[in-house]
Amino acid sequence: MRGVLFIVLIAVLASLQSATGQSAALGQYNEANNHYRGKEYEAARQAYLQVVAAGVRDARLFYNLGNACFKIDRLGEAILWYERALRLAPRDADIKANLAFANQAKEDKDPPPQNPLGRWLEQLYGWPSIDELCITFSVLFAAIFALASWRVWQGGKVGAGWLAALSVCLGLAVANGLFVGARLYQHHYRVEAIVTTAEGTARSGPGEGETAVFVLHEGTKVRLERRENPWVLVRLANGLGGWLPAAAIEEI
Amino acid sequence: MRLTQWTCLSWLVAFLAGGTSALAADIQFQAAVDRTRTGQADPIRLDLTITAAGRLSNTSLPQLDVKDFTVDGPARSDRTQIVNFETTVTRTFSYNLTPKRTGTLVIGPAKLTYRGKVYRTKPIAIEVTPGSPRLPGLEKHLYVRSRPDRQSLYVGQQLTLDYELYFNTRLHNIGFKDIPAFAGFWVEDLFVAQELQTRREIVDGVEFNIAPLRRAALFPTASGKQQIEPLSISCEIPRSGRRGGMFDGMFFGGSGQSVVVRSTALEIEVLPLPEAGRPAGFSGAVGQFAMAAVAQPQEVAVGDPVTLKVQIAGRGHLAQLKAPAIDQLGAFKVYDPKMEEQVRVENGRYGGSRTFEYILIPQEGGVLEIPPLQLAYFDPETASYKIARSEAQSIVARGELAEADGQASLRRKDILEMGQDIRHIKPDLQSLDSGHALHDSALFWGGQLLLPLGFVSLLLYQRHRQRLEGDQAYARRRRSRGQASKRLATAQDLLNQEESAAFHAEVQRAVTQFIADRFNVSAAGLSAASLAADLGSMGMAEETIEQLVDLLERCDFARFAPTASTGAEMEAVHGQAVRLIAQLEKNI
Repeated sequence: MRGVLFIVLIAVLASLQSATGQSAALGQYNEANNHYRGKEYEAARQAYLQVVAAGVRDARLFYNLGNACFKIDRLGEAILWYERALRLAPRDADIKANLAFANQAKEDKDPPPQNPLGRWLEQLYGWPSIDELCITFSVLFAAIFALASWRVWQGGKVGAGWLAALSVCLGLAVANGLFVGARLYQHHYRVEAIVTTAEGTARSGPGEGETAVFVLHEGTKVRLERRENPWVLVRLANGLGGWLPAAAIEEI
Repeated sequence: MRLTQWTCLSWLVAFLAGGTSALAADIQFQAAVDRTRTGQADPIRLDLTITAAGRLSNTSLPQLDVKDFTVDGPARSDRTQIVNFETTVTRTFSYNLTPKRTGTLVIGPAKLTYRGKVYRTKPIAIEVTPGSPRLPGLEKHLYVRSRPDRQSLYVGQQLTLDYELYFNTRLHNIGFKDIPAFAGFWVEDLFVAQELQTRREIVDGVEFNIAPLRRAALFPTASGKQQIEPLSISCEIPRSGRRGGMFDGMFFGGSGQSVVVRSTALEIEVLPLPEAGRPAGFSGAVGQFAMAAVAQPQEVAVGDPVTLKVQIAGRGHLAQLKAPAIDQLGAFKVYDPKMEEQVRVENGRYGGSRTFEYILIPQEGGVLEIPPLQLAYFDPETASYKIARSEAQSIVARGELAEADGQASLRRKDILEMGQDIRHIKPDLQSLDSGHALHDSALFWGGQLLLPLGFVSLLLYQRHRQRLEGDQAYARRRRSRGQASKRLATAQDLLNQEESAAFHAEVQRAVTQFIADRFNVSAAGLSAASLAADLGSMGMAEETIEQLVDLLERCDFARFAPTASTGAEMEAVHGQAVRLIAQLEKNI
């Protein structure tokens, strides 16, 4: 009993704390928007970054920050923030449009597009955000227990509809769980990053003396494979791998 | 064959003789006819002869100047003669000339160009009499009659011209020779004979076979006097089988006599169409016409096509029937019509119909009117202008013209993208999203754990409820504490009211009932002594048993004592009972 109370107390306190932090961050965000409208893009970027530093994680904030970066020719950063925004709001047309626009401005070519089926599957895979998947999962989970509880409450006297509903919920929950699992796995173990320096030379090993393998330009998306500070091993979509200084890239 | 051998030999001899001078010699070019007097039915033969000493190279065909004759031929023949080693080559072109008219006709000079030099023959005069001098009186037994249905008519009016062959002699190999060109007329053949279909008729007391040769509908295209050239046929009159010995002794040898028979030339007076009363929009239609119009479908969506069929039918030449003008229809877009023509000949009158199919596209909604269409024509029968009219049509057009339709879209342009930039920022907000990803939040996953926990507690609760219902001992045991507390609370009330007896009774009942519930026995038979013994056998602490016995005895004593206990005493009893029940609950 006491344990439950403690948890509730912690939650209330946390929400209170975040609410006060929220209002400050909100003011800063709206002020940054004003800077942006006044074409003071650098000031806007700084203000947005402060909101981000305050711990806000909002697709609209990331998108606006991407815009501010784009306006002052920080292409890599702009793409980075658009990518981050897209992960939170995968179906937002503005974000998609600006990301595509920014990607056209970068120097390195995009990997060739997949066949239509592959593209369609990829779109389907990226359609919900991870948070949305988590919410649907918990809803399904709750539905399963609600159904189970209903059966217990009724003393085991339930109809065929109950079984059908339970199987549907179970099936959906398993599918949703696999989906969430895949997405979380990818999120944690297939980390992607954007090149934020104008040019970065990838080497065959972590060290300046190693052979230069290829050169990456600002805005290119890579996969982060390994860290050996201050070097990171990145891999391109075509399978090429090389070591870059960690400062040259930023994780999405 | 012999001739060929002979020719070759003579050529060889001429060559051996080496008559080179003869090769360069001039040629002679002469014209000759078989007779200078002939009948119109008899062709004459014209021979053009080229004579050369030595060799005659290829010659072109001579050019004739014979306007008044019909020409057949030529037939060519070559002949070589060698006399005293002098070679003479003769080439003859033979023509058959048939006179076109009677009187003195002239065969003009024929012209020949040979090795750059021009040779001419002398003109020949031919006297042509009607009929056939060789067959006198032929024209009375064989002639072609041309019969127009009228002598004067209007421009565009139908003139029906019949050609008939009259004969009362035997004929062979009949064929058309001169076919009139009918210059100045539109010609529509109504009938052309493929074989002779004769009927018999008495003409001026003589029986004749009459065969129609040709019937044509002529439509003058210009006014004034129009000439119609004669039509001629050629035929052969056989030697035998003459009728009534008509030509006895006239024929000699051969299979028959070839003659040409021609009709007389005609002159037709063509009147111009009167200027007076000529309606506007008259396009030259002459005849009798009626006009009918049908629009289909009657009800249509705006922008969908309506077919307007206008049929002009009647008698007269159809070429002058132009499509009626309907371009003044503001509510419709009109496309150029498609025309279909059908010719019908009735009683020798040429006519038929022309159908014009218009496509109309309604441009606005509502009931749209197609006004009557008009055709102005000249009726030669009444010599006046008339107007044929169609009925008005009305179309119900539904809806509005679609924006992207036809010409409307032509005026529009594609939107040009002038420049490209990123999309604008998102607007100011009332709240921002939380700072943590749901999947990173312990609270979220912890919350998920609450569900199974809740389910398990539900299961436990359900089991408890079932035991309460089915197991009396369990139920009494579970409720014992609650019951005891309730009784002690009642006792406290009685204490406050200083009801000493009732208070002690309630305390005693609370304790004994609690113990009875715990053991699931009846409270009625429980005395302090038996309780002490039972509890003692269960291994209950001595102290607790003593307290219980003490309490029960004190309550018994107080209930029946004459004096009421003080408040402090009762408080002590109450407190002892509470402690005792707590103590007992732990042990039983």
